[in-house]
Amino acid sequence: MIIPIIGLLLGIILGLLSPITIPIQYSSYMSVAILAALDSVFGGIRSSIEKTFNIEIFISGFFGNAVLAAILTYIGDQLGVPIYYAAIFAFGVRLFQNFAIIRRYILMDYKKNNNKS
Amino acid sequence: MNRKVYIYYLFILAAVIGFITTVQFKANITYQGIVTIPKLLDLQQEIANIEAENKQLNDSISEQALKLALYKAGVESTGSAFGSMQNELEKARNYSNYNRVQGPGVIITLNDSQQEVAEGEDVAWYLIHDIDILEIVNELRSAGAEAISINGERVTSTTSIRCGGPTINIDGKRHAVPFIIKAIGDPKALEASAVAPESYIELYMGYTGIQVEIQKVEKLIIDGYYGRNKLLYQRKAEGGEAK
Repeated sequence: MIIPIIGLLLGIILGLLSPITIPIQYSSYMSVAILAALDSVFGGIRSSIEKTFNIEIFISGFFGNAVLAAILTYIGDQLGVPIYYAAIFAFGVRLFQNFAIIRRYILMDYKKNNNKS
Repeated sequence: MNRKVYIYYLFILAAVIGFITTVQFKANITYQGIVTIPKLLDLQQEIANIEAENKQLNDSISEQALKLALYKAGVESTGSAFGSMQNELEKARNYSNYNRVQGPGVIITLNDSQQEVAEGEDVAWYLIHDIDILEIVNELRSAGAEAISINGERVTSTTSIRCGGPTINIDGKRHAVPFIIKAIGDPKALEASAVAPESYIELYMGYTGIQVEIQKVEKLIIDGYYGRNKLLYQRKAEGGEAK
């Protein structure tokens, strides 16, 4: 658990130090990609609790979702229809669902431990 | 899979998330709201306007630069900028209607109706009024007239056209029928402004028999304004117009 947190901190520090800035017209792509990545992370946490975690699925989901969301945003931009709402909606719903399931597992675990002691 | 291996994958992924999120935060983008198509068109219009204004300003820069070059050339050749200043004065006099000018245009002759006044109708409908002259002058201007005179009286930016009982006062001077309106400009456009179906003459002056004669002329001479423009109240303003 400690190693991903170190990775996160490293990423934040790199982001703060790096001179890279995103042009404003690409900001919607980035935000959708971030949402997709967060969705993958929550999915990963859930599957690891369920003991069905698979690193290949996780990584392909992480990058695949982000790329697909960016492509949807691009198509939407070209058509003049905000298709990326679909990505935001789908990822948002999944994020909250996964979070709800994680919460349930953690609370059930906590209760079980309490009953044991 | 070995736990040791995928923990490093997680490390890398966490680093990627941290990185892109931080970069996005650093961009500090304020939410612009949904850009609807009307809003987009508005913005496009605004951009086009600003670009047009820019172009105009650029043109005026080159114009001023040209003027400056003329001044300089004048100073170098004759020792003073008198020549080009005189040219400019001449131009300004043309714009302010002080010069006698010539060019193609139209002559509109107006005369009161010769018909007998029908029962129950107002005799005023058969006469020419100040408002008729005003409307015609306005339409000629909108058709691009560059110089206008009424019965030899040059119409300037301060000319008044008022009712004077049986006569019409133009700049305070009495004038009676017939009214001869001369206008220099594109003869076709000026004629069209007078005979077009929606024009004032066609709409209001036809049916009581007021005599209107429109004549296209190749060469027309219009006298300059003889009066004196006295500027008693206005001064050059500093800064922009008060809102």
